[in-house]
Amino acid sequence: MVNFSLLLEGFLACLLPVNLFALFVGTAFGIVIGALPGLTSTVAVAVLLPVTFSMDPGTGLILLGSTYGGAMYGGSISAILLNTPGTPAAAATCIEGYPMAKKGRAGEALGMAAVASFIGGTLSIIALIFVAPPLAKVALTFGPLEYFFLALCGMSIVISISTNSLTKGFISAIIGLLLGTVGMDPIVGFERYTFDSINLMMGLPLVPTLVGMLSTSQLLLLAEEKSQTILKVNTVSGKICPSWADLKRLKAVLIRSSLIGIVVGALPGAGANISTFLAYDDAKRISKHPEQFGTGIVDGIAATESSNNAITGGAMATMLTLGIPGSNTTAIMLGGLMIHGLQPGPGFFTDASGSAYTFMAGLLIANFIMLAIGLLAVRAFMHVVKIPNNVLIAVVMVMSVVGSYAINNSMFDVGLMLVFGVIGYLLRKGGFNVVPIVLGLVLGPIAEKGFRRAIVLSKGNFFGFFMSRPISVVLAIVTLIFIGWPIYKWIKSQKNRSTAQAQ
Amino acid sequence: MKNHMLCKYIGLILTVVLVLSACGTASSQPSSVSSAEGSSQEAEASLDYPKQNITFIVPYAAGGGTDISARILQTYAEQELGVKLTIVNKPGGGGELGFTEIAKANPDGYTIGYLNTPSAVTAYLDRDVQYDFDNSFEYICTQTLTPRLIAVQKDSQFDTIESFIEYAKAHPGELTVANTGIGGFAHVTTLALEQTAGITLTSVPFDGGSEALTALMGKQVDVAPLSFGEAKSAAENGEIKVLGLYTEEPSDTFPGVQTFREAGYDIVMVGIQPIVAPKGTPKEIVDFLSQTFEKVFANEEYIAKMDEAGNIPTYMNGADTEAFIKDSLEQFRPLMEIVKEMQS
Repeated sequence: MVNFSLLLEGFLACLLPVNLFALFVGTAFGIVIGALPGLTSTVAVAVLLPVTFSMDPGTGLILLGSTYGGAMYGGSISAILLNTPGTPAAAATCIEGYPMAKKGRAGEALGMAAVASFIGGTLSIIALIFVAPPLAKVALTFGPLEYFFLALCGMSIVISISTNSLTKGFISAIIGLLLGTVGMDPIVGFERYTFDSINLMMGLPLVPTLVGMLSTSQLLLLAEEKSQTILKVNTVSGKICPSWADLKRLKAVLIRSSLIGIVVGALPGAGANISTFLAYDDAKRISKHPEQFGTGIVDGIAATESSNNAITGGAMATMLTLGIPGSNTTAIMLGGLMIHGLQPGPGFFTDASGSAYTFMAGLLIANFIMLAIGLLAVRAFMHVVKIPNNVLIAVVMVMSVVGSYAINNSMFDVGLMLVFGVIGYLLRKGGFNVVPIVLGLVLGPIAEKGFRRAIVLSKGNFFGFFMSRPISVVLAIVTLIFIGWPIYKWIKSQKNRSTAQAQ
Repeated sequence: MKNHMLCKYIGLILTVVLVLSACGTASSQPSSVSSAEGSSQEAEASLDYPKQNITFIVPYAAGGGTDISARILQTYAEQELGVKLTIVNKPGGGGELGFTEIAKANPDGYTIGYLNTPSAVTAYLDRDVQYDFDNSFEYICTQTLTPRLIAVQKDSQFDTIESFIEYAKAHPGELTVANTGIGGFAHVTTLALEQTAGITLTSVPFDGGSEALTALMGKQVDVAPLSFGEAKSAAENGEIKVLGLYTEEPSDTFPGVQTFREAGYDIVMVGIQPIVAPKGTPKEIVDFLSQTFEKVFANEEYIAKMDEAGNIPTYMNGADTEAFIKDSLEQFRPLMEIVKEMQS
């Protein structure tokens, strides 16, 4: 149970100047790193980790936690302005954000991103404080078969985002799945498509491939455009903060997407990449005007951004309760925790020193700071769309190269980024959407590993194994609905069209 | 107006990029503060080292157990050395990329890094790597031991090694074990167990210790061979039960738990985290580093931090390190033969 007196003490501790400073610096640093393509929340937290060694445990943890949240929001900035996710978690935000930026509504998009991130983050920290142990227990019940169905659910989103051509969407998804097979086979260790290179043995590194496929290809497309800037209309709308009416209308979307983020974020390994797409798909499904999705509406941003910040609370719930990191970033934070002498586990929440509660109170306050910084900074950021393309392309290219190099200190990764940039460009010229490629690349390995491990675990009785796991059955049904429903609707619309033509 | 804003943005972006590259990694600049601690001054009097920052290659990703050991080392070693120890993460190939980087680095004493057993050994036995243990490295010292143990679900029917092995013998293939990667430490540990005890387990491969731990805690598998660090907090919280240790002696970290030797099965699975330099690094520098690290490893604060992170800090000098690695080579050779058969 929550110890309210410790929680209150935690809040008071956060008001100490050194802690407030840590919160501010962490959030700002996180936002900046998150916004830069190629640099992820993992890098941000890894860089700060040694800095925290000499700090008080509470302060050090606040610094890392606020950086994590800030980076999750920061990714949306470049996603919206440049169609380039700053962090893999922001990939889904590009879908709605960039069209809005082109129409001069970047301020609105960024404002909604800030508010949605705030809501998602706050809800997830509240969940962390109050229901972390049960949440973590639920996360543990997800075994390989459940991950398989979850990944399949995620893949079914390809159908909903392939509005122009379902066939091309499937082809993109398959290309992504193929790319996901590069590396060592998860069960036997057989090397696939590695061309004997050590660099490819563990598979295609996600960040350089993503940066190349989404960002660099975008830059190449931009270079071709006749227009001088990203902005396609004459003026930039001054509206930034979403109105109360907007928020009320999107209440359901925000809450549902946050819940998706919290639960999926708590699952070790699955994390950010699935939840944002699931949230986007969910928002589209409950929307009264689903056909507008993809043209640039705030609804999509509300879904993806609240979801990706909600991941932080879920991932930390699993990390703090069970000592299992839910993602790369939480892995580093876990290390930081242990070095400061804080033991994850049930004892964490009853730790008398209160560092745990200072940490959680700090995370809540960090969300407010992030909202403030976000809304204030939007005023400056939204004019990025007016920067002439030639300058923009040069600068973003430099940042992409630095970002691709930074994680593994490898020029191979930079080369990979460039190669995928060209491939992405060619595919996009051919009318293929690159987002399904990203989905395939990320979800393919999760699905494969889940399925093959499940086969081993089922020891020959696969059907019996499947039926004995209620979560798998539920997820399987959900996946069938996700895949079946859009196909059914499409068939119906084809029939309607042919009957209309016949008349 | 437009140009003014443009310059502001460019300036802002360039500043950020510069700041980041300053926080970054591979660049080693001569340290402006050259005065070293008094204790290392005697050695330095005759040895003009270190004069600039030292690059420390970690063959694993940031945030992992190895990386954290490196960062703890960095904090305390920098005080003794008087120069910065710049950590460069070079993950890839299960460590192979980093090991190769070290082997190929300039042997001027300004690039050192981690090897890892058994990863470096199993990689060498499994495939064509670009290093070997006679011609590629100078062995400085060993920082940590990474022994293995075997754990079961928290309410498992097994309380002793004996009961586990009896059941496994009676029901071959029924018990599932969470391994981590073909040829990985957990996998060869399981192979050794199966060979020595004459049992057959069903192996489910996961990506790394924490996934294996999750699977065990979530009751997806029956058994998992984990490292001490991975198992420590879960065992203390009662989430898993540690059945047996693959060490030579019982350990304080897991009081009351049998070693496999005590149970009658002579299996010892202990890896080490040695620090090495490329072959050809001058002996004086290697010795200097070895002595400096020995001092660092005796620092109580350092030991406390290493303990917290679930490591077993130790110190083995260069010669003992080399001997240990060569022994590991022989220990894992027959096991890797089995692995290679599985892969073909």
